[in-house]
Amino acid sequence: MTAEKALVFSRAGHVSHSTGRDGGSSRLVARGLFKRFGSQEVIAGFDHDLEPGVVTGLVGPNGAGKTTIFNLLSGGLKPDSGTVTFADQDVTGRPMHVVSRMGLGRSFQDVRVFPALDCLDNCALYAQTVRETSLVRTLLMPRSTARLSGVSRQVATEAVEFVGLGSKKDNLAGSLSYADQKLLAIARLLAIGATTLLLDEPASGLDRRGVEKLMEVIRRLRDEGRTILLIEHNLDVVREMCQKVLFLDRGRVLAEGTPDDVFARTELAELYFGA
Amino acid sequence: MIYIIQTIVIYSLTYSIAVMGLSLVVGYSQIFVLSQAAVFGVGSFTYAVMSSRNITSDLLIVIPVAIVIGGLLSLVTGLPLFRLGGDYYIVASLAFQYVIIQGLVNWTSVSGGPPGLFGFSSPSILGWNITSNMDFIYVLVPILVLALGSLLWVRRMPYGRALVAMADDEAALAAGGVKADSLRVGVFVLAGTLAAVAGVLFTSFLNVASPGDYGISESILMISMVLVGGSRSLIGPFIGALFLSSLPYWLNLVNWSVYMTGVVTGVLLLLVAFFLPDGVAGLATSWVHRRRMHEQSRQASSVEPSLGGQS
Repeated sequence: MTAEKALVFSRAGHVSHSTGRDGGSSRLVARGLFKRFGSQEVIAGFDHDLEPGVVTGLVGPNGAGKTTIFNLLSGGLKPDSGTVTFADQDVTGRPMHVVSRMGLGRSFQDVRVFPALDCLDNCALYAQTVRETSLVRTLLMPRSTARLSGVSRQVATEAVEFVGLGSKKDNLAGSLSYADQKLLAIARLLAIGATTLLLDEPASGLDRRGVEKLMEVIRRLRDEGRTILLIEHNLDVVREMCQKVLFLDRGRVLAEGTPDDVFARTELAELYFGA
Repeated sequence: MIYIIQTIVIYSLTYSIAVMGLSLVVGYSQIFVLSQAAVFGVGSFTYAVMSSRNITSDLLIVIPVAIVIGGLLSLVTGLPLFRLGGDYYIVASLAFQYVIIQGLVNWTSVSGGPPGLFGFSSPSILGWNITSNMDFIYVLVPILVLALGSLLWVRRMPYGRALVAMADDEAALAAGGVKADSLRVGVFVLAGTLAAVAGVLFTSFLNVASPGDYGISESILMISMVLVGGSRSLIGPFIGALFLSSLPYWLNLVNWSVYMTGVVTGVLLLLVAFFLPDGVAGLATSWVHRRRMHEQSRQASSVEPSLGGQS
C-alpha cells in the first residue's frame, strides 16, 4: 500500500493526524496511572511513552492488568490518578467514542464484530463521520448524507481489502470464520483512521495459518509507520512482531526491553509460566 | 359494511404512523416506552385546540406545529435516556405518561378538563375540506408513505447502520466513534414526532379529543402493536396496528364483548413473547436472514476449508 492510499484512511472529518512516519503528533503517553477496583489495586503506577511507529508488546500472566491498561488508555475507564495524553491532548477518562475519533483505536479480546452487518458495513460504521451519523442531517440533507456515506464506504472498502477480506466484503460478519473476524476487527480500526492501534490478543484462538496472516497484516501496519501496542500470550508472535516488550505483573511493569532481553530473564519466565 | 372497512383502514393507518417509529425504538434501543400515547394525545390536542379556537384547521399548518411540540416533548422526556438504561427507562416513561396526561386533564383552560374538546370544524388542506372517510384515506396514505420513506431512508443511511450495531454491542460501537446515547435519543424523538402527527390525524377524524383516551392502557396497546407485529421491522407495525386497532370490530363479529379486547391483547402478547420474539413480521425476516447466513458460511467453508475455527 502506497503512502497516498494510506492517507485515505484518515480522511477529513476524522481528526487527521499524520498516518506518518514522523508520528510525533499522535504520541500516546501514560503518566502514573493507578486504578483500584474495590480493595484490589489493579494498576499500580503505569508510566509509559508509546514509541511512535514501533510495535510494543504488553505481556504478563493472566490478571496482570493488561486489558485494564487498554481500557484506561482507550478511554471510558477513569484512572484513580495519573494522566493519559494522546496527540498532545489530555484524554484521561474521556469517553471512548471521542478518543477513538482522535485516531487511537482499540480492538477487543472477544473480537466484537457486528454479526448482523456485512464486512463492509462493519468498517463503514467505523469510518462514518459525526456529521453523517446525525439524524437531523440524514432527514433534512439527504443528498449530502448519501455523498458522505459513499466516501465512508470507499474508506471501508480500502480497509477491508488491506486485511485481505475484499472477496468477502458482502458477507455478514457473523458468518465469517473466527480468523476472518479477527482481521475484520483490525480493518475497522483502519477505517476509523487509527494511527495508534491497541490490539487485545489478536492471535488468540487462531491456527497457524491464521496467525501467519495476522502477522503479515501487523507487519504491513508497522511498515506504514503506525504505532501498535499488542497484548499477546503467543510469545512467538511477540518475538517476531515487537521491537519492544513490557512485562506486566500485578499492575506493575517489571521489565522493559527487547523481546530477547525480557524473555531471557528467568524470574519473569517463572512468573509467567508459574514454574 | 363499506363504512366499517373504511373506518378500520383509517384506524390502522393512523396507528401505523403512531407506532412506526416506536418499533425502531423497541427494536434497536431495546427500551420499552410506556409514554407513546401521551405524545399521541398531545398531537391530538394540538389539533383540537387550534381548531376549536378557530386558529386554523389546515393540516398543512397544524401538522408542522404538532411536529415541533411533539419533538420538543420527546426530547425532554428522552433526555433521561442518557442516564437510565433499558429497564429503568420503563419506569421513567410511565412517570412521563402520567405527568403529561394528568397535566392535560388539569389544564382545563386549554384541554377542556376531563371531558376534553369536541365539536370543532373539520380539517382542511389549502381550502379543501376533508369530510368523507375516503377523503381521510387520501390524506393518510401519502403521509404514511412519507413517514415510511423517511424511516427506510434513515435505516439505509449511516445512522441506521449505527442503530443495527448498537443493538448488538455498544462498547464496540463506542470504539467506532459513535455514542449510543445520542442514537437512542434520536430515534426516540423521531418516534415521538410521528406519534404527534398521528394524533393530529386521529382527532381531526374523530372530531373529539379527551385526555382519558390517551392513558396508560393506550400506551400499552401501542407497544403491543409493535411487539405483536414485530419490532425492527417496518412492516411489523402495520400488521400490529391493523389487527389490534380493529380488534373490537372482530370481537363484535363473533359476539364477544368489547371489554374482552384487553384480554385478547394480553394473551396475544404472551403468545408472541413465548413463540415469536420478533413478532409476526419477524417470521419472514428471520427466515431470510438464516438463509443468508447459511448460504455464506457454506460458501466460506468451501472456498477456504483450512481457515475453519469457530464462527
